[in-house]
Amino acid sequence: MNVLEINNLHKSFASTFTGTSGKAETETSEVLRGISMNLKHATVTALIGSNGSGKSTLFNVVSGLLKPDKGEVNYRYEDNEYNLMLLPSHRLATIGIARLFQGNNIFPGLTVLENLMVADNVRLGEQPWHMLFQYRKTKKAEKYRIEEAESILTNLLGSNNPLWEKKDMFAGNLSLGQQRLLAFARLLMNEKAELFLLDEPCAGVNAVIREKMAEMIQLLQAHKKTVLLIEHNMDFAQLIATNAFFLEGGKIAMDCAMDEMLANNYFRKSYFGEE
Amino acid sequence: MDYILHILIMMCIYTILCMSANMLTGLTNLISMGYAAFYGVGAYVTALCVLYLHWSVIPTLMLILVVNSLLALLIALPSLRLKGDYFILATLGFQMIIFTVLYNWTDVTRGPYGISGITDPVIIGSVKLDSIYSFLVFGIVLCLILGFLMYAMIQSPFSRVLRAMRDDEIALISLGRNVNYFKILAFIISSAFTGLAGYLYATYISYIDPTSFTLDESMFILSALLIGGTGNIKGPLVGAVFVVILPEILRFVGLPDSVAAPLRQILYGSILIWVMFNRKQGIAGKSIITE
Repeated sequence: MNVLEINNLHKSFASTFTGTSGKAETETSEVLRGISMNLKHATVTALIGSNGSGKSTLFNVVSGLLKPDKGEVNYRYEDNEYNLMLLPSHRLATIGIARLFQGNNIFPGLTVLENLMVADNVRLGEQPWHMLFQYRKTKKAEKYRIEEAESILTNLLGSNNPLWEKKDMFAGNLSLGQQRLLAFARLLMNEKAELFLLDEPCAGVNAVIREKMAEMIQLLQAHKKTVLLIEHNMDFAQLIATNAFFLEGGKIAMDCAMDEMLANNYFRKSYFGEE
Repeated sequence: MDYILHILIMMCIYTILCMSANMLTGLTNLISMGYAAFYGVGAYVTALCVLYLHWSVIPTLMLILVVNSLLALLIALPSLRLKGDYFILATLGFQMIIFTVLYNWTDVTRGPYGISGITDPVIIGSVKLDSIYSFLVFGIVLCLILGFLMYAMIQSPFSRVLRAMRDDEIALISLGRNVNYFKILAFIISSAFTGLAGYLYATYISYIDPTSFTLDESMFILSALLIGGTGNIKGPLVGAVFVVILPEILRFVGLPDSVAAPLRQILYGSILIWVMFNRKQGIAGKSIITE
């Protein structure tokens, strides 16, 4: 069963600048040129491509942050099918789409624990009147959130992890690697999450955190979650991904098993520059 | 004695203004230039209700909350899609419009002549706000109620969402929160509560005119908040006490008015610059980076 079906997706960006003649000129660059791909349920798939090939743009379109020029993205969740292009971007988390950004995008002015708690999909207490008129329920929901966040920090990340020790510290004070781990852990607070879009989860992290990331992604797969990840580290991608798409010039150039892609001459020549 | 009571009542007015501004600027980082406009609308609604309709305190306060909320919604819907500087400009435009309306709609506001004789509003039955003591008690009660509401909100998950929005809107959207909705809500709450200070001001001074609600006043409220500190309850209180006390201290130095007034502005400006360089969270604000 396909969780995600992308059909003929096009996206261009236009930029206006003053040309040599002194007149305003517009240049359009087409980043996505008719992308079509399907993502099977409970698989880990790598989206591979050189810088500027359109990987992050594709993620931004799928997660509703950019509107495509043409094409559609259909998503299946709990026996319902959604056309993601018709939904406001904030609705996507409620139907199980979790996104890890290339930048960490943590909330530096919130503590580590609060960063996790704000990602809870139960919204009780988030209206200003809840604290006054639903005090007990709000407090109970908060207690549950804290337990849930602490459980993610201890059970999933393991004992003696740096985030547990710094759980009451502002997240802005964490190292970049720790912020990356926190951003990943935050996705796990959404119990409804089914499709994980991970944009370079291992960028800028050390080997210990990379190993932890791999463990967590494998755990997601064990829980029948679907993962699509952008990755430049081929060792990491090979370790966790079973399928792969190769994106080249805004088009899907290859769609096959991960091992098969790594052994393919065309891929090796295009991506690694091997002769 | 009356002098000290007057100072305390002015502190109550600015505490309400700063707490309201804290709700928007302190928790969401949205900077509004329209605080004085909402303050002024509250004061003019009070004047009209007390003078012409002879309404008591509670219904007038309710009407202020409703009118300011509706006005805030009207401004918020088109302008909250704007971010940063553009939102500041949108609220600046609103501030200008309200001032122009107050100044020129003479049939209702009496324009530059202002409205006088806003006296003795009824609290309940025969109990009136008719002495400086009653105004002080009323001001403190208003501050305590508002302080309690603000404290409850700051402690709640609602504030956490606002602070998260302040830090990273895109990340919050990806976690399923409608940031425009939360921005509108924060703007409405802040604007509605700002109007309550207008009630206390209009009934206590008993005379209002548009010059009390200018852009300068908006910037003054914002400065008071930034000097005092944002993100908690203490900051607005410290800011209000500070901006009310400072001119009074200068009064005792014995400087002529022509020197004291610009000196006060220079001092406010210098302190604001010092705070921004050395203590960005304000005197009593919540620090983010703990190292």
